Amino acid sequence: MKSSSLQKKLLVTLLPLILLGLLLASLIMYTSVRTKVEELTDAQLTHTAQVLSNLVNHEFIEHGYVDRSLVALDDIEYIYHSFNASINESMIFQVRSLEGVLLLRTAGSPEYPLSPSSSSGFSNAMIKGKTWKIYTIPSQKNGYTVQVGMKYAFLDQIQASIALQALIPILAIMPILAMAIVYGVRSSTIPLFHLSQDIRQRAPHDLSRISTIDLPDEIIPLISGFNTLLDRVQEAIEHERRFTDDAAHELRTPLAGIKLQAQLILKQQDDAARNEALTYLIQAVDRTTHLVHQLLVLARLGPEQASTDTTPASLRDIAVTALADHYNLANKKHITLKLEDGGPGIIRANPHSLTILLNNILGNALQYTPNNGEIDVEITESQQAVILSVSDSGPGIPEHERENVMRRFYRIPGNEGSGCGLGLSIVGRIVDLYHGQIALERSSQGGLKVNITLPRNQTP
Amino acid sequence: MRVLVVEDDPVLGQGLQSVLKQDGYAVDWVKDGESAILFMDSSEYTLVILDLGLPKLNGLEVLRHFRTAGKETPVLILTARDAVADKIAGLDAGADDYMTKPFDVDELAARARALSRRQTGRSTPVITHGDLQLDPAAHTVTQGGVVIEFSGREFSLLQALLENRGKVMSKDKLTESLYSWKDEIESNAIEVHIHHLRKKLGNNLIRTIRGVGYVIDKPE
Repeated sequence: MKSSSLQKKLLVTLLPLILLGLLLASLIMYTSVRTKVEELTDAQLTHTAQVLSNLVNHEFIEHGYVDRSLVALDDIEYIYHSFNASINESMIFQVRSLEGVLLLRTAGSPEYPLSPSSSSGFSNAMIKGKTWKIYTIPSQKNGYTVQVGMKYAFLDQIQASIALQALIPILAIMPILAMAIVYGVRSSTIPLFHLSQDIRQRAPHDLSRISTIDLPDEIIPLISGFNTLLDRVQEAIEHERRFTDDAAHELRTPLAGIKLQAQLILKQQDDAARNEALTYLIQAVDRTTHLVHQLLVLARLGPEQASTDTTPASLRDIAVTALADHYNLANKKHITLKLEDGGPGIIRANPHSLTILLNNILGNALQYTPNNGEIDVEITESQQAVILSVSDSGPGIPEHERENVMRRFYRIPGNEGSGCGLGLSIVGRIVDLYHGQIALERSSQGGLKVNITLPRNQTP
Repeated sequence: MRVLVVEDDPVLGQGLQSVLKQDGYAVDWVKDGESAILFMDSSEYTLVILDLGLPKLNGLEVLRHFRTAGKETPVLILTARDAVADKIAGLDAGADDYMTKPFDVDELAARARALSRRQTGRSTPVITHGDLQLDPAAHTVTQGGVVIEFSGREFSLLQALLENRGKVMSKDKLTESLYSWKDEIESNAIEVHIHHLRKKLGNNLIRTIRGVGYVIDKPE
């Protein structure tokens, strides 16, 4: 089917099929009516022959002669009149003696016998170039034969006209039926047109569900599926909107700080005070830069980013690089960085995402671990997963705050660190992308232990 | 003339503190909602500058707590939330003014002055007392058209006395309005400032009520 229009498809399939069916039915009806009519005309022919035979018989019994001359003219008239005048030309008869002498005939009848057959029943004969149906009644008892003939052309005409009359209602119903089919198909596809119109006329931001009221049952699953998608899109947009909203607000505060310090510098006459304000200004710019950086990291952590490159990566190799990157900072605070021995921790994941994950966890640990502390990284493997644990000897996170710290922009009250409250959100997002799990607990050194379980074969 | 700044961003908080100090306010700065309530309950402030997104207890809750306790100190909300609904919620919760971040420092100072002026029941910006005029915005004092120079604290002390004309101000009350809790205060600081004021403005303006405090009499 070239056209993918449901309506066309239905019409193109239904209409010819139904019309063909009707035609076939008409044909069958026509032939069966014709057969019935033929039976009727045959009976008529037989009946006529019998009536004629009886009449002739009656005349013979009355007059006692089997002689042509004895049949009175008025009797013949009477016999003629017993037939419908209109069929005169189409109907003929002959009465012959057993010897074959013609006793009586209609005007249209030839001199020679209508049919060579002398036995009782139907036969066909050619008379004056036309085909006739002949019925013969031989009579041994009375000594004469009656033959009645009817023109085939006339028979056909009767049969056809009666059969056609029977077909009229069927033929009349055909266009009505066709119209009904077109209407039915149209009206059952109208909800689809309304639906597409509704969807087309929607405002771009309108993500409300599509009503399934008045829709055909067959379409409801489609629309339900579509509605589920709409809900998810709405949720995603809402999430994005909240994120942008939060991000804008989070950026405003450090920007206000920058502007305030800059205005203070303009007003300040005293060099020492100006330098102090400049220090604060630079600090504010650094914090804002860090915030913007973290926001960008978080914004770019979409599912597509996680799936771009999922060749097998060694978490251990990535951890080694990340630890090396943090060595200087650790050294400044005299913090011992340790990576416990273990397997390579091969998982299918984007190495860049894993680097971001490790950098954020290590960055946090280094920020909160006091001087002379220690940070311990451990990678263990199981059949299904690779487990990364980072323990530090910092202050840890109280149990009631462990859920909060995973939220965006959340900072533990009284926490004077320079964090922007996004580090653990970023970690959480990456763990989610790889269908992993994150758990915060108390480390054996009394600080924080971050446990991350990443399944080996995830499909991000 | 003591102001409480409630702001969790260190740079912004520090900046606000500097600006307000320059304008002659004594400034206390706290970084979370719980501390804000503690400070509000324990001291008398001319003005509170309140951020909304605070750790522990958000700004609106602090404000509601404050108003429920019957405190009438003007509160200026200084926040990143700029939606009309947020402004309405803030003002309806009992704020007297609402500013969004980032802001202009001079506008903030002007609004702070306006709010403290209303607090002392005055609507004209310049305080006139005889031939003496004190302009809190310009930070100037003139006597008979002649400009007289004052240090920040001297100016604040004179303003406090002029705003409370006819009321005897105790030494403690004056100290509280002049110094933040972090300032180190000499026990005779107020006496020293009064002495300086008298030197510049003459001895008749400020009267000492022995054992009670100081007063500038209402003009007849």
